[in-house]
Amino acid sequence: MLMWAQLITFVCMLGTFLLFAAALKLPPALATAGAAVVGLAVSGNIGSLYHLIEGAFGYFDVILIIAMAMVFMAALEAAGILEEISYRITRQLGNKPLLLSLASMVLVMLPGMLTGSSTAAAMTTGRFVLPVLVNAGIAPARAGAFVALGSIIGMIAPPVNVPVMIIGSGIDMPYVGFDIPLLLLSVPAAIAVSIWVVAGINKEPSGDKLEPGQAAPAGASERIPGFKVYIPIIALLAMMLAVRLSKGSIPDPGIPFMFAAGALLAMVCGRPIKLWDTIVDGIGMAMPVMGVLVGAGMFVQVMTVTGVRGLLVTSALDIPIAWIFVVAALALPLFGAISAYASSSVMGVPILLALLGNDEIVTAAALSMLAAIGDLLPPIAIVPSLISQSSGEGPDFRSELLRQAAVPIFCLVLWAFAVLRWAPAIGRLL
Amino acid sequence: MTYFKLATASWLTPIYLLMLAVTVVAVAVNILREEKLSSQIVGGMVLIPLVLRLLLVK
Repeated sequence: MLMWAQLITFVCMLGTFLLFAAALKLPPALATAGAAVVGLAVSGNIGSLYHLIEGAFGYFDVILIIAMAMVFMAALEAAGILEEISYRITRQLGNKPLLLSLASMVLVMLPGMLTGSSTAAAMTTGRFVLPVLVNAGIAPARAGAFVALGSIIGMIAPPVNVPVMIIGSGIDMPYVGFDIPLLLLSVPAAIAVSIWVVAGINKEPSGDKLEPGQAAPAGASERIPGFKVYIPIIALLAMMLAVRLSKGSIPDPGIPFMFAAGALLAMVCGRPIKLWDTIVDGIGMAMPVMGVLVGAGMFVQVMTVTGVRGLLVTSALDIPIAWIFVVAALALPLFGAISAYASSSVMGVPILLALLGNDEIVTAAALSMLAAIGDLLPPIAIVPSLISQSSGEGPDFRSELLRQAAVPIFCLVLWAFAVLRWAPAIGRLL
Repeated sequence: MTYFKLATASWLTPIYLLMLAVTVVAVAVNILREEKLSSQIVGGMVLIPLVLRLLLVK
């Protein structure tokens, strides 16, 4: 009887989310928060609204990381550093499609790697890379699919993988030792997608558009000379590596502090920028993602309070081990269509608990990839939607992009499934 | 006085509180600039944990 009450609550929460997100087209943050309120009401806990405040703190650390990371990306963009790096890559590799696609993949992945957010990648370097690829002769929808896939791969690549952090927090597993498994997942995927997009070149590169003057920052006088454009990114990576390799001898100031320091560096390594405007722009870009995290925290908190999360955990533990991999490959991406972060918490933690004894680090890494793929899937398809909005290609662009990306998405799911299935063997090899 | 003690508990705490304060003001500015009601509500949701943590309430 109790199980039925929890099941009804879960169905009502999911139904409310789909109603708000898909039918009413409300932002995902409001849809998840609304579903949490309905969950409280249906379970008879509407008086316990303080659980929503409690839940809002669920991903507070991640919220602060994303806020500072977006300020960092906004500083790189405003200082002309991203544009300058894109320009240099275009000029050097414009006539070498495979190298261009590989370099473009690194560029698209970079913000996702640093922030753990696919939307950060799509909204920053993704915007620069899309026209470069189209100019190189790749169909716009295919180039858009490349940016979307690169954003997702960047999200799961180290050093920052938020879904893994969320899954790990569910079983008190620290975010340590994930770099190699995450590289194993992301590097082959990035190379495969780069080759896939080059195979789709169906016309000659529009050489005139690849002239430096076109791809360059507005004018030659605004070019940023020398090596200093790379300093903020190198300094950020050096700080992250130094803390990890020092094994405690260097105090860890935390990832938000590193991003804030990197943002200050970007302000002196590029064109002059207005500090406050850049911060406001960066936080403005981060707000939808921060909102999703606040909403997902409320959603998960209500699921915990009402016993729905327990129902999912016990159900996951009851699934035969052979089927748990199939359930993971289906449930994580599908629930990830609501929010990759919510999927990591709601579905990722129970499945990891059910797979305890396999290599937990490799398993969590593979689960994070499956959850992240949800950001590509309808009805929200947040990454394709953002790319579609920024491309200005028209209303049908998103569905065309999703059609192009369907096969690579399926291959990514298969790849994550393979790593998940053989996690113990892979763990022993690493 | 208690707030001051908590805010200076370690050398990083005041730096993080400063980052939080800047973030809170930037979120508020974005809410005021935003024209869509739904986006303003999302901004308000984001402010809840940020302000409470800035005040060291939770």
